[in-house]
Amino acid sequence: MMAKPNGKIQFKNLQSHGVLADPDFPKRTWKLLKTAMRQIHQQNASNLSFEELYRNGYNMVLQKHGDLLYNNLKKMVDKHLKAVAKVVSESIDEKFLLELNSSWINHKTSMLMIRDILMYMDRNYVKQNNLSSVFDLGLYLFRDNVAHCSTIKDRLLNTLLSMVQKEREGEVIDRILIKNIVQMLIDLGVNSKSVYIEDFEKPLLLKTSSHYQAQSQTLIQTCSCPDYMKKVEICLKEELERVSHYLDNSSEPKLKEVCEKQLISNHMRTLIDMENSGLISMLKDDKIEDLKRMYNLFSRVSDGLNLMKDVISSYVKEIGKGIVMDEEKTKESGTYFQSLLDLKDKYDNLLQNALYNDKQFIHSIQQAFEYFINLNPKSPEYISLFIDEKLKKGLKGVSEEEVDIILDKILMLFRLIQEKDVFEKYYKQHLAKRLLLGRSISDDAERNMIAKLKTECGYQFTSKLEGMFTDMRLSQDTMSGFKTYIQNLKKALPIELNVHVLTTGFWPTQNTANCNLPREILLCCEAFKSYYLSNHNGRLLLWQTNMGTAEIKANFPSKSHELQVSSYQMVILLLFNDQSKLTFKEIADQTGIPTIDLKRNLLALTNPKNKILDRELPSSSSSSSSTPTSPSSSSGSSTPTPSKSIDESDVFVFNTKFKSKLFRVKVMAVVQKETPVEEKETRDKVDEDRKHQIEASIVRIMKARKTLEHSNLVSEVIKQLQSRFVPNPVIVKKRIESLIEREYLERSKQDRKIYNYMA
Amino acid sequence: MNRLSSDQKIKCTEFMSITQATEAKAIQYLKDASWRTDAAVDNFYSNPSNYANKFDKKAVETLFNKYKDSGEEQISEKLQEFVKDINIKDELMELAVLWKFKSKQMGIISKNEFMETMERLRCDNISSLEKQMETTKQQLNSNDLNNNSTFKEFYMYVYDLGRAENQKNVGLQMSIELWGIVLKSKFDNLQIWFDFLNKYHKLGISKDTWNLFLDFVKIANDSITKYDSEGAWPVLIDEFVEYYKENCK
Repeated sequence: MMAKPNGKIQFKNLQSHGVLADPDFPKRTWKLLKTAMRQIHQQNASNLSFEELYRNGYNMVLQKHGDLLYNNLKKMVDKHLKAVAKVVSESIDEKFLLELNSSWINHKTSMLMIRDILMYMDRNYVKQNNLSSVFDLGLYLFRDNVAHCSTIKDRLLNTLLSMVQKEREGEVIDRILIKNIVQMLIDLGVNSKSVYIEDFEKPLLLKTSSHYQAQSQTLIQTCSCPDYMKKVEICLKEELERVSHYLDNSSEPKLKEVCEKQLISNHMRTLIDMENSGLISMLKDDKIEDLKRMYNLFSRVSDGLNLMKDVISSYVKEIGKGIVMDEEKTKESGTYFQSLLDLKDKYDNLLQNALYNDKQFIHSIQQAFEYFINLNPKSPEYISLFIDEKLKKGLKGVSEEEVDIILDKILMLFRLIQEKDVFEKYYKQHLAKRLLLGRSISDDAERNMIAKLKTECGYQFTSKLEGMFTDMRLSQDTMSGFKTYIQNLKKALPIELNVHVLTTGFWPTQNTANCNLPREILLCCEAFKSYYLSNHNGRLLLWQTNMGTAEIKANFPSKSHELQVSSYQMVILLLFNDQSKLTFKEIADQTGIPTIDLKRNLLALTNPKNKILDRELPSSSSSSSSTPTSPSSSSGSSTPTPSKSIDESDVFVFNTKFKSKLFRVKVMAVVQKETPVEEKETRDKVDEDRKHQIEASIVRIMKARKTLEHSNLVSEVIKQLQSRFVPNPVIVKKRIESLIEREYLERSKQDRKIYNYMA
Repeated sequence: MNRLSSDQKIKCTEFMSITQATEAKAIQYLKDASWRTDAAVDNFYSNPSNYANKFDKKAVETLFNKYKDSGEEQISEKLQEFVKDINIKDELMELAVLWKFKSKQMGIISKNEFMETMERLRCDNISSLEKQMETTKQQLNSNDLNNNSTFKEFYMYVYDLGRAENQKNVGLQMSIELWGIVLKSKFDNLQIWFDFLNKYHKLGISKDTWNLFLDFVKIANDSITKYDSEGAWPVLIDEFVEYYKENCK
C-alpha cells in the first residue's frame, strides 16, 4: 500500500492487479499456491515467500473464491496423500512403520505450513461455512487416505500387535516409534480418541485377552500357587509399564481389567483349591508373604476377596470343629482350650500381617469361631476350668502385663460363647474351691478377671462373685475377733479352728451334707457359733462339712507326718484312733458321710502314692458263693489287687508301713471335672434358672408394652437375653403358656396371636 | 329374618320359643342385648308389659322337690331320672343340661341353680323345659362350627365343669372323656389326638389349650396342612401336628 500524494489511501493491490476484471485471477492464484504447496509437500519450502503466499490466499478469500480455494486444497492434499500411501504400502516390513511415521511427520509439518499460509481462509471462510479447519481437514484426509488405506490399515495393526507381542515375549522393541504411531492415531481422531480406540486399542485388548488366557492356562498347570501369583504380579507390572511407555493413559484401566480377568478372575478357584500350595496350605503353614500376595491380587477383581474370605472361613470352621469334637482333646480340658487359644493366635497373626486386618475377614473368622465353639456344650465349662488352671498355677511368676494379655485373649473367646450362664455356674464353683482352699496364686489376677467379666457382661453377672470375695475378707475379720474371744475364755480350745463364713446367696448351692463330727471339733464349732451369733443377730449358721480342710498330725511307727486332708477325711481318719480296722459300712455309719463322697475320699486315702489307709479285700470262702470284685483274682486265693474304685465290702486298715519323704503330706481328694451325674445336675439347674429368666423377661416386656403379637414377643425376649444365653423359641412359647395359666397374660379374644398383659 | 346370620336366626327362634314374643320383638331385644339370649330374655321379662305368661314359681319348686336328693338341696342322685324325663338321651345333651342350668359341679344341680334357670327360661313344667332343650340340641348339633358361638360357649363351659374341686386344670383322662363327648362328630381325627395325648403328654390340659383346641379343630377339619406353626398355638398342638404328619400320611 502506498499513500498517494493527495492523502487518500488507496489499496494498491486491488488497483494494480485490477482484480475485479480479471477472470483468470482465481485460477492463476490457485496455481501459484498449488505449486507452492507442492514444494512444501516435498519438504522444499525454504525458498518460498510466506508473505506472498499468504497474500494470495487472502486475496482469493476476499474475492469470494474461498470455496474454490478450499475445494482445490482438499483435492490436492487428497491426491498427494494417496501417493504417499502408495509409497508407504510399498515399503518392506522392517521399514513400514518408519515410513509411516515419517510420512506422518512430514504431513504434519506441511499442513502446519499450509495452514499458516491459508490462515485467513481458516479464520473467515472456514468459520463462516462451518467447515473443518485446514489442519483438521488435513487430519481427516490423512486418516482416510493413509491410515485407513486398505493396504495400510491392517498391516499397521498387525505390525503394532506383533511388536507388542514380541515385547511380551521378552524382545526389545522400538518403543518410541510405537509411541509416535500411537500418538498419530490419537491425533487422527481429531476431537476424540476414536481412531486410536477402533484401530488399535480394541484389537490390542482382544489380543491381550487371548494372550493371557493362553498363558495363564499354561502357567496354572505348571506352577504352584505362589509361583503363579508372583508371575502374575510381574505380568501386571509389565503391562502397566507398557501403558506408560507408549500407550495412551486412557487405556490403562481397560488393559488392567482385561489382564486381571484373564490372569486372576478366571483362575481364582483353581488357585485357591490347589493342592499343597493353595490357600489352605498357605494357611496351614503360615505363609504370610504368599497370603499377602493373594490378598493383593484378589482385591483387584470383584468377588475375589469374598471368595478368599469364604474359603478361609469354612476352613477355620472345619479345623475348629475338629478340635472341639475331638474325643481325645475334649477329655483334657486344658489342652482343649489351649488349642483354641493357639488357633486364635494363629489367625490373629495372619489377619494382621497378611490380610491387612480387613474388617470383613475379621468378622467372618470371628463368626467361624463362634460357630464351632458353641458346637461343644462343654465349652463354657472348659473355659472356666482353663481360667481356674491359670489362676491356680499357670500364672505363677508371670508379669502383670502378661497376665492381662492372657486374660484378654481368654475373654475374647469367652465373648463368643452363647451359653454364658452355664459358664457363670461353673466359674462360681471353681472360684469357690479356689477361695476356700486358698489355691489362687494372685488375688490381683482374680480381681482382674472379675473386672474384665464385669465390663463384658455387666454388673449382674459379677455381683455374686464379688460377694464371694467380700465374704472372704469379712471372714478374716471375724477370725481375728474370734481369736481374741478365745483368749479370753476360761478353757482353751483343744483344736485350732479357722472358719470362713459364706453368705448363702453368693456361693454355689451345695446340698448341706451332714457328718458326725468328733467331739473335740464340735466343741470348737459351738464356741465359734456362740461368738458369731453374739455379734450378728438373727442369722443361721450351717456347717458345710464337705468343703473344709484339716491338718492332722499322724504318728507312724517310722516317722511323724502332718497330713493335709479334707474335713471328711479327717473325720474318717480320727475313727482309726479308736479302732485299727473298719469296714466300709462301719465308717459310713459312724461318720454319716454320704456314700459318693465317702467313696471318693477313701479312694484318695488309699491311693498307692500316699497310702495312709490300706485295704483288705474280704477273704473269699472256698465255696466261692460270692463273686470276687477284682477281675484277676481266681477263686480261692485272695491277693488284694488294687481296684480303681471303692467297693462297699472293703475293709480298711491304718497303714503302719506308710512312708513319705515329705513331712507335710497332701492328700488330694478333690476331683475337678464333674461326674456325669453332677453334670446333669448342673445342667438342670441352668435350665431351671433359664426358665425363670425367660419368664421374668416376658413379664417385663409385656408390662411395658401392654399388648404384643406372638412373634414380636419372642424376638424381644431373645434380644433381651442373648447376652447370657440364646433361648429356644419353643421354650419361650411354653413359658408364655405357663404364664397364661397363671394369669399373668391372656390371649386377645379377637386374635389368638396377640397377648395382653394382665395387671 | 332373612337378614340375619344363621347363628342369629337360631337365637331368634330360641327367644321366641321362650317368650312367645313376636319376631320383631325378638330381634329388637336380641339386638339390644348383643345377641346374648339369656340377657335378652331377662330384659324382656323385666318389662312387665311383656308378662304374657304367668310364671308359676310354686310349680317349679314342686318340680324341684320331685327330683331332689334325700339329704341336700340339690339334684344329684336323681339327675339321670330328671334328664330322662326331659327326653335327653345322649351324654352331650346331659352336659348341655348342666350348662343350661349353669351348674358349678359335674353331676349336681343346686337348688339355686335350678330355680334361677327355670325362671330365666320361663319354664314351670317339664314339657316346656323339654322344648327348650330340643332347641338347644339343634343349636349344638349344627356342624357349622365357624359361626356357632353357642357351641363355643358350651364347649368352654365344659372345661370348667371337668375340674375337680380346687384344681386349676383338668386331668388328662377327664379331658379325653369330655372331648369324646363334646366333639364326637365334629372332629374326624379325635382318636389320633387321644392316642397322641396318651403316649406323649401325661399331664393335665390347661384351659388355654382346651379353648384353642376348638379353633384348631375348625382348621384341621378343613385341612391340617393349613395349620400355621407360627400361629401362636399352644406347644402341645404344635407337637400333635408333628405327630400327625409323621404317623398318618
